[in-house]
Amino acid sequence: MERLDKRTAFHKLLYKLLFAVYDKGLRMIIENPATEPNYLITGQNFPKPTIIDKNRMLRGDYFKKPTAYWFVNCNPTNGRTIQNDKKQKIIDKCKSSPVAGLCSEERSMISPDYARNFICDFIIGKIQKNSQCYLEF
Amino acid sequence: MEIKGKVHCFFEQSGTFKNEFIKLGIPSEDYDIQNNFGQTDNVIDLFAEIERAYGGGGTAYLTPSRPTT
Repeated sequence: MERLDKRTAFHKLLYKLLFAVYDKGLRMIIENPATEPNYLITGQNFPKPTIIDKNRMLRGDYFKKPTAYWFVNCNPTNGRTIQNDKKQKIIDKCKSSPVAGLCSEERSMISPDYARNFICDFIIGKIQKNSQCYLEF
Repeated sequence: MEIKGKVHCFFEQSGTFKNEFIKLGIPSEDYDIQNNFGQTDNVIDLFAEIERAYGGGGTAYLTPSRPTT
């Protein structure tokens, strides 16, 4: 019940943040896991994610961990950096959070390489050394 | 997308993204109620600030200084 109450409270806050951002015309990018079951993607009356990165390891992260991103009042750029140089960490083998309904720090960790590659690929459209070219239709 | 001002990063792992924005030459700050690594720029209750912004009284980083495009 504690977990359910926390989830409801967090969802309400997210909706309020979305409202404030829409109301003020701000640009925002939301990140949330895209693993199943997913309460934002499938279970709630919530906008569909703009993109889903199905394998973060390909952009330099430690986890495969499918992750959804919502681009609010903005659009992603269309880059593709390849950096698959980390030893994989498994979510289930990471430490759990001591608090019900919250993700542990280890499970939430994002590598600096992934953060940089995400920014370059989807936010600023910067071509890097490992950027891949591809056809656009 | 063009970023003319500062990027504001919220919640967990905001420091990771903040640092990478800065390395890429884009000014950035992070905001979180925790400061486990001693690097959080703004140690603040974001939940309370979201409630204030929703209620119409949001603080500076949730209120644009000029109209956004």
